[in-house]
Amino acid sequence: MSQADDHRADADLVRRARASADRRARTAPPAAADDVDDLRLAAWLDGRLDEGERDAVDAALAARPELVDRLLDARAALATPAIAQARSVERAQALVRRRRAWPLRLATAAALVAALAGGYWSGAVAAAPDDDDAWLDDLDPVGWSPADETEDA
Amino acid sequence: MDADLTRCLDGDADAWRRLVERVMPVVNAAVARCLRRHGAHEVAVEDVAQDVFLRLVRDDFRVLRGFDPARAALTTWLTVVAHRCALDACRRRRPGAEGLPADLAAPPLAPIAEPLPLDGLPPRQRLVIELLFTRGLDVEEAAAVLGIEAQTVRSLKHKALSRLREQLGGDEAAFDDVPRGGRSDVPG
Repeated sequence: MSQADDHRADADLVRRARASADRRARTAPPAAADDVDDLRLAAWLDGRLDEGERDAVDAALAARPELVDRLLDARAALATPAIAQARSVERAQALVRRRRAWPLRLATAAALVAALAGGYWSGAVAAAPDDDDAWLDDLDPVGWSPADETEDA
Repeated sequence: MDADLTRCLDGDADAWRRLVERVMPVVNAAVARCLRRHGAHEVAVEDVAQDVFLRLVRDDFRVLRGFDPARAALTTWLTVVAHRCALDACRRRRPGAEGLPADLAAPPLAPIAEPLPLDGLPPRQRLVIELLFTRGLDVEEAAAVLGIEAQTVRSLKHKALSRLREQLGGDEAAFDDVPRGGRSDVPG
């Protein structure tokens, strides 16, 4: 038997199995396939799942054509990345600069103002005289007595 | 963890720039493939790629923080995320939007076939049969997709077919209305 004949026989077998399973499915509702999240599918692609998890993803893939599409496209994309236009890269890069720059600048400005204010305050305190009541002496003219006030009156 | 990724999550714009430059090619490729598969030629790859990165940074990098480097490589995960974004874009197509570049504006890929309801097989064998007989991949292609050796694929295929023969052997009634003779274009 040639290789082509083998292929045809195998395909025939699969087709008949499918027909048989279709017939069984009419009496028993199909089990719902588990959803496969992005990280799990990526882990499957990288071969990092244990056997139990891998079987669960295998089952989901076999049952859901759209998941196989994602798998095939992801494999192909990893194998043959597409050259990106500079404009496209710059647009994506700008996302963080725009989102992050202004709070950073605001925080920097606030810190600067606080530092300046703190420095001014420290300087003012350092320059102040040690004796808090000394200024009162300057205001008290020598030779003044309550009698002077009486005379004025 | 990826050093740039860690810095990105701390708000380092330079690290983000490097990360974008590094992963943009796979993101672009995944988006382009998805759009092509679904015939969404009017959707711009660049716009969808931008959506991917926007999704990553939104809400203080909520999606990016969900990535676990112990589970998968960053590029692999981003490829999957990008494909999902592209799928979303296909679902909300905008008529009249900018089209794909000429080299990507090829006819859509073959329509999705119904999966084989081969529930009697172990999951891996079922997947191999799905890839070989429904998707029409050859053994080497299926091996590349599954990330295993071609010989392992042959072995899984052999076991699956043997099992199907056993199952069907005791179920001759199932063949009564199924004519023999399959497709001739099925790979081996």
